[in-house]
Amino acid sequence: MALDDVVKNAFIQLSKDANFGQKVYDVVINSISDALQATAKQIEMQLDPKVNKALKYTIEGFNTNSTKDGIDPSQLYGEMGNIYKQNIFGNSTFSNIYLLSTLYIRGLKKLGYPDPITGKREIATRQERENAQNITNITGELLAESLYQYYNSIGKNVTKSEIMVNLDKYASILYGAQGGVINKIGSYIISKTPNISLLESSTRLMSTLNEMFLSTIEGSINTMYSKLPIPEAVALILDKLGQIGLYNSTFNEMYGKIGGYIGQGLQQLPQQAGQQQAGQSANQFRQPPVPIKLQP
Amino acid sequence: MKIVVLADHRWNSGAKTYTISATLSFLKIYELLKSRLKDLEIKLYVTTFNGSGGVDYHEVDFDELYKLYKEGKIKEILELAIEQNYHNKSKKIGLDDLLTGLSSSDFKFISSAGFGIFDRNITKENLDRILSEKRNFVVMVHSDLDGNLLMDLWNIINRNELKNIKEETKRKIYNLFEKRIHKGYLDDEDQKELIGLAKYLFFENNEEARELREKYGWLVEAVEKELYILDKLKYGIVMFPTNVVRDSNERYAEKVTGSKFRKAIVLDEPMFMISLWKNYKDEIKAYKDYYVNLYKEDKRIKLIYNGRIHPEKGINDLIKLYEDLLKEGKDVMLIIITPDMREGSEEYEKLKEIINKYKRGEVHIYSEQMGNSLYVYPLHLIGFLEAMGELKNTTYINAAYIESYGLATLEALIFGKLPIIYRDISGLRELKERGILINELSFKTYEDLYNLVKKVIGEIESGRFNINKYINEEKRKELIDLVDPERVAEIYAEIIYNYIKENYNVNLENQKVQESNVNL
Repeated sequence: MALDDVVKNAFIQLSKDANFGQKVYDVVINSISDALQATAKQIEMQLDPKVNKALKYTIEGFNTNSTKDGIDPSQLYGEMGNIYKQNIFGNSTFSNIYLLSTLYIRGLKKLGYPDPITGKREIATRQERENAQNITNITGELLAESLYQYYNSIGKNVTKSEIMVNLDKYASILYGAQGGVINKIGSYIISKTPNISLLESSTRLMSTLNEMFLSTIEGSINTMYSKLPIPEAVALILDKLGQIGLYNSTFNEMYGKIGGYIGQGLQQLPQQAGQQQAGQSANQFRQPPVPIKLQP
Repeated sequence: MKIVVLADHRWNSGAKTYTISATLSFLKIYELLKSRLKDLEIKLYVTTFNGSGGVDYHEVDFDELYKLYKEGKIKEILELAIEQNYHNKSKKIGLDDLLTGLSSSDFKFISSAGFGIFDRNITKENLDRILSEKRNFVVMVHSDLDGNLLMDLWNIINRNELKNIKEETKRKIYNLFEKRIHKGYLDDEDQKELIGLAKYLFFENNEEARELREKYGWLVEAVEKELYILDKLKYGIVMFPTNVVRDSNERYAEKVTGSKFRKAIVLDEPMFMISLWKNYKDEIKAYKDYYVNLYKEDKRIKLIYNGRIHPEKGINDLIKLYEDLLKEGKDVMLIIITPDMREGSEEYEKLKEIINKYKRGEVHIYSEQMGNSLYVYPLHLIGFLEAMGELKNTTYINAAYIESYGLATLEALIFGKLPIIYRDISGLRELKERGILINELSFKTYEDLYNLVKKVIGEIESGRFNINKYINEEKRKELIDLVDPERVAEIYAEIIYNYIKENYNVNLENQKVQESNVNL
């Protein structure tokens, strides 16, 4: 018997041992779970505007511009969130496909492929390229499988190999759909007000949220891969996590955390004279800050 | 021809204000040099802290910034810089990209000598790549590095966390600190003593040194890296805001590295506020009117403090001063403009306690940490300072122990035309010697500060206050010209152009003429 057969036979025996399989599974899943929780904690810090200054100013800009326009920022944020969720998570069959396509194309972009919409190329670091390679391997596999099952479910006769050949084309179109949600939100704002500052700050806020959400999923894939560097295994776990609503819950959690800061930060003007002046300038300029007072 | 600007945006301090101003100057530099240098390209890299304590690197779309500049959108450029660290016009890059970008450039401008400090990615090997013997770089050194080290040691012993520190060591640090305050700088003997003290604490194997290293390892690490950078600066061009900072650093560098700077330049720092002030007069007037309305009914005398909440900025002296004034029955208002005061902080609580104890006075706080900064949108600050100047019952106090240049102080002078009471140290002393700050309002000790403030208060109360006595208007106007980013850009452009002309051995003007002829 050749040496490889010795190894093979040994592993066949292991694979038949259900008790052993459960133990291995527990070790792997616990390890991944711990790592993912640690990653989640780090990401959570980035959702705190006190830590993430860029987010802080994005939120403040949105708060200021919507209030100046007489629009309740919390209400508008809710409406934008609804548009996002309806488009991205509204169709349960296609939701995962949208997301996988986006992750796949973002990975390809890091690997030097042009953006399918803008044609722009990105510069990525070696580490980013390595991560992107893993993400494209994992999401590419899952995307092909998801598309194959979807087409079969609607009676279209296509093989997985045929999908694999044109995977970039499918993904490019679907990637556009994910990006297009921000344009939809922009269209909604335009339908409510001609205020370009509000349009820009609203789409900036939702783009920031979108970017943080996608980065979180990418970070999670990389964390899983660092603990279990087998693309097929990570793809299996990711697929399962997607089915049990991880993506949706992740987005909702992030959306809610940021929502906690919407509508805050605007301070009322202290006196009548100030109100008149600021009222006059509010349409053109930024409301000046008022002091925090310590009095006897 | 590729020029790279490395902008350190990690600290909310004068260094960041300078960096943003210098970046604005580079937009003008591009305009000035693009016709003189073939295929000129400027790359702008920005460093920021990320949420996990590490450092992130970003490449800013310089072309986009230049487009905004050509459209006269200075405010938009500064909003991007101040509020987002250029987030919307940049992409995150890795260390490799940063190092490749820097090392492959023909010339680089580094906005702060502290760029590699508190950044574990920037190793000595990486520093070798950035500050190479090709001599093709300018590095701005904002402050006297010996003073920074002394201040760090002074802060450490004042925290009372070192159980084993000997009284003799403390005494040495306090003595050096007193000398520095008295003279405004450390002389050669003081520097030698400081270096000896640092060597002792950083390397000796005894209880007090070991404890310091164990608790303040970051200082040892930072100083080691700072010295490594200092040694590398001998290859390039080093820029300082004042002669006192240059002199102090030159002597210090020679003692700790054994090498001298090859080329040192002293130049006023650009102030982006000037660009805003020139371009947005209507908007500033609206804010000025707003703050005049806010404060005009309150006839109390106002004292302004603008700076970080830190002992080196003299915050403790200021709080003591305020208490002493209230104790004496003076019902004055204190206005604090700062990036970092927080509700519940020691200083905040102390001020609250003082106000409640004496049942008079009022403190107004504008703090980035509390969400009402005047700096996030700097037109607010300009309007505020103009308003305070117009009220003619306001005095600005700078009680800092270290001040390499004093940007915030100069803002108060330029925009507010406020009387500036200041400590006679380092950069501020030089501004005094240049006639920009008035000798009569300088102080060295707390007693001097107290007496000066009382004198000015007395003048305001009695109606004898005459601002012209405390402002040298001619020098103020001269200063406005000197710190204008557009004017500073002309000087920087010449420095860069001359370097390239000398070192790349090309006859640039002729090259341009030949190209013009071909086009004809």
